[in-house]
Amino acid sequence: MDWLIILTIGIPWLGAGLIWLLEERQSRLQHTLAVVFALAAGVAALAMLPSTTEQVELRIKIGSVFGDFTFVPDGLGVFLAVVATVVGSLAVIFSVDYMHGEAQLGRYYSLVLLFIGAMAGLVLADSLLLLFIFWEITALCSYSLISFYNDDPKAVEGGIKALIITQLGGIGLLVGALVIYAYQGDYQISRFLNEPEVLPTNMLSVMAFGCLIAAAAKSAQVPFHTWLPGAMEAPSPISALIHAATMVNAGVYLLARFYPAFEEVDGWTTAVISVGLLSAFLAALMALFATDLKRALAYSTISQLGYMVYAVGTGAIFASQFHLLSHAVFKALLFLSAGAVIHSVGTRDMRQMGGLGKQMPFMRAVFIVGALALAGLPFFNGFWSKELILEDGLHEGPVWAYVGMLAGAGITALYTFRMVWLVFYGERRGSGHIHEAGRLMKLSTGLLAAGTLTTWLLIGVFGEMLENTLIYHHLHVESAPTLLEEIITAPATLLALSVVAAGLLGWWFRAPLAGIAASFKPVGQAATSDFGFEWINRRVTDWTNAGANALRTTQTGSLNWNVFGIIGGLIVVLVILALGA
Amino acid sequence: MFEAPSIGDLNIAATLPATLLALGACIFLLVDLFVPKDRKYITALLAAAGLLTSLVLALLSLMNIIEFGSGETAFAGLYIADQFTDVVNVVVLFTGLMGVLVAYNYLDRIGKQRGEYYYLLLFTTVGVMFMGSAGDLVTVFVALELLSIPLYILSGFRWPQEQSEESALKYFILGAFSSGFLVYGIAMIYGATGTTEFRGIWLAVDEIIAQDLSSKYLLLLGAGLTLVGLGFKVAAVPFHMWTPDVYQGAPTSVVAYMSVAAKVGGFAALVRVFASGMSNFVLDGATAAAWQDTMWLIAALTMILGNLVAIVQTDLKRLFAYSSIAHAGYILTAVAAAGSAAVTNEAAQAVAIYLAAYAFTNIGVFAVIISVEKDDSSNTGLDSLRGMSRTQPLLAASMTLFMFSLTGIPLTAGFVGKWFVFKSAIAADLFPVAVIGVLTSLVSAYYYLRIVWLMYFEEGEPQVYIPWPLASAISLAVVGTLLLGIFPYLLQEMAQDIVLAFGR
Repeated sequence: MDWLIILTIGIPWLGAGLIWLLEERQSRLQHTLAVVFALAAGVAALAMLPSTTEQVELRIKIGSVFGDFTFVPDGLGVFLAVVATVVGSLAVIFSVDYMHGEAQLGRYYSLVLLFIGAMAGLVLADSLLLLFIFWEITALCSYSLISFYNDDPKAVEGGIKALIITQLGGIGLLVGALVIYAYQGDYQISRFLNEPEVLPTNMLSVMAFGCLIAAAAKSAQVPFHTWLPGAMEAPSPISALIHAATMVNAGVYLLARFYPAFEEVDGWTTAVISVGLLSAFLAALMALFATDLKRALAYSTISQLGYMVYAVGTGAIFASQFHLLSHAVFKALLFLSAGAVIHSVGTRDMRQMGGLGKQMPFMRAVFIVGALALAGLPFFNGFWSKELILEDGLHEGPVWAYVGMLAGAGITALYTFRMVWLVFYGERRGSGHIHEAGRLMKLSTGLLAAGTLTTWLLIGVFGEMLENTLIYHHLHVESAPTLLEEIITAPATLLALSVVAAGLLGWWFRAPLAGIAASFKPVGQAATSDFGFEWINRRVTDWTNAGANALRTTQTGSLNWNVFGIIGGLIVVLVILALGA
Repeated sequence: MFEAPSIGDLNIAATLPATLLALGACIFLLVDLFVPKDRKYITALLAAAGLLTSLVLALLSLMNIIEFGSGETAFAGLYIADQFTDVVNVVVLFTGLMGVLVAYNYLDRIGKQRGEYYYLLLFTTVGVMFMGSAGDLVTVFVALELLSIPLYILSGFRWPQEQSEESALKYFILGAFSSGFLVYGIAMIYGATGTTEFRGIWLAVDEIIAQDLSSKYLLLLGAGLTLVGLGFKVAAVPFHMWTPDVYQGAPTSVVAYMSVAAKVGGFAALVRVFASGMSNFVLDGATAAAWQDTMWLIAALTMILGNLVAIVQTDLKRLFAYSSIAHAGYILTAVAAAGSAAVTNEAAQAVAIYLAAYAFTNIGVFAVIISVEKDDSSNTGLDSLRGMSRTQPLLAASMTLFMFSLTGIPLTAGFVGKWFVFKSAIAADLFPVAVIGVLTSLVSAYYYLRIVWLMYFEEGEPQVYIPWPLASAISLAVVGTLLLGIFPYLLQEMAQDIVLAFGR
């Protein structure tokens, strides 16, 4: 087991190093090596599946300063490592066609492989400090890959924005690690989950909310979501891998991992539910009004992550992680097929597309599979997991949140069909030659489409795995047939389905409903301007700059002022000391 | 009845690394008279050899392989030879060695290859060493002057260039001014406690607190004045204003050395005076020393101002002046933490660790600046690094590593330093300061990473000049930054025996 962990993290990192060393002109070899190493990592991760355990399986002693670096391959960690490496492999395979003939392939593949290894490490780590280190490595990879086309100022800006916002979140985690260490003496997450009482209540809530901030920043949740649409400047396989299927899930993972310790913290679950609800609902609206295909998908990712966060807030850990699995598969599929379309059309603007189904029948087919899963239609994987979340939400969560999530599901259906229609149906609005995607593009999207149709069958195995190895969560997961039957027969499902159907009908009868739609115009305007969050972002950076400039004027360079500063400082110091006496 | 101590009681051997260097500096001063003008490399070599010898001695003492002398005090309590002394010695001797390496060719280029440079540098180094080992306020003061006066001269080393002269004069006037505060503070402390020796002060403070004597007000005044005097040396806000002007005007090789050495000296003295001498100065109803609030307030201000103003700088030397102010803030956080009795030693260790980590990185940064600077001291703008990754991949990679380290990204020395500092702050219940520290680190990421971005993502053809001494200095800095980042226990092992609090 221990060597499997080392392999899962080490193989991609080794590959990253090797590819980095290759010459730029050996591009064939670079492609091949990347695929081989990514697949090997996937195999190593899959091999961990049969022997998940809650025990520490790998302990690296690194001296006393940072404690031991420990890894626990429990169900949650291994499952996410599998997602990271398998979707990673498919994204790399897709890249062989997508990045064909691009310059700087070595940098691209090295960073992708570095990311895959770090992501696997992040979910397997049991030392909070180690988790933080992997967390930062993934953020750096994400930054470098968003800015991959570094002569494009938009790409550079998007990268910096993503880095700064996720770094802000990283602080929450770092503070958490310091707090754990201060009271527990090491960084062991499992020890902390076993006995969260070692922290005094106020410190526990500092940590709980610190982790919430970290998670919201990483998982692009309101109000920290603004970086994700900007991150769409990255090459499409990167959007599929990092910004849909893996890294953005790290936040949800963090919340799920620490749920047993934080659930008793005052107001924490409500805060988590609110963050999830706001993200799910607002981002769905933004997706409805987006015109850029990848940005629409990005908003949809924020919205779907909102569902997972909401599920954690209601205590439905299993449902959230199951939706994470479904989402990783169908959203990677959507991003990759969208990437193939964009690669072919040469624009991301959906207003320039339309009618592409005729030229790209295969991509249309797989995209629709992904879209149906996103909309939550039976019996795709997105249906089962979303219904599970909504059902648990109805029973365990507050009603106001449930209503919001339900409305979100309707909007999801609406924007999904709008997207499919704008891209593949109607009349072609742009010009230029369209070619069908390459073979390897078809292979990877085809595999993901197959996954979208089938991963829900794993519900039983997956539930059992989590139940057995997440011992601090005290999960109780029903067997597969019971679960599936429950979902189908639950009234919540019917309710949700009718809302989805309403969304569908809304799109179908959009012409007659145009009048009503017009009255929603202000909403549309608010949604396209990102509900003002982007404005807040700008203001924060502007204010920081203005503050810096204002402070700069204190630096006059004149001796008299310097002396004045020293004397002023002395007076302040003496006043404070005198107040203390 | 006066009783002259015998030579043996003085325990001179314990001060070997420092006294040897002082002696060496005096001898080199004489030798330099006979070194012809075109062969000043001899003086440089002698200086380097002297520093290296002392460094080896200090390292041996640090690793407890050889203990010089017997016992921890020398010169009747004026000098303390403990683990903290060893750490300060090693850090500053290494810094001095790097200072010689980065200076040699730079001085050639600016046409100022003179022997004075090297022995002045040795004298400041000795000053820092004595500050770190001071057992008495009088030693602190004398060492401070020994540290400062050569630095004033070195700042003006590029005369008749106006900027350099201005920098020296400004540094001198303000330095003299704040030295006055220090002397006055020492006088007050002496007035309150009747002694200038730290152990004596510590005992007297216990007495003052126990009996609630009114001399505590005098002591408060003394603490405040001392804080101002030393705060100036470490460039804490609001005593920082000389820093950007001096850093910009002084020769870059001097700045490279001074930005670390002056800080090491200042912080060593701060820790000795406050953590060691007055950590028990806990007034009624308080849980920590009376000076803690002031200290953390200054730390917070320093971190905020330094990091914010650095954002808008366009000149590398000014930018790193503000960056060094910001880092002073982080170290001050640990000094403030030392005000809580239970954390005093841990915080002092954090200060030592941070200084060691900072030394490697910061000298490296200035070495890179030296490599792009033109002979007429122009071209130190941010633009001078533009596109460096194309023409100088190794140099750009080194600079990137330094930027990561200053930001505090894991696996670099800077992260380890920040880690220990924030840990001690949290242990001392200074949670808000730790949060300010972490948040301002985020702000710092903006301007540090902008430099990385300039080097990697922008077009440009920077001209660099890297002779081998400079290259080896940069390599040493890279190795140190990585080594301490990847094996942090090296630092911890080094610092864990630091015990500064008396009686515990």
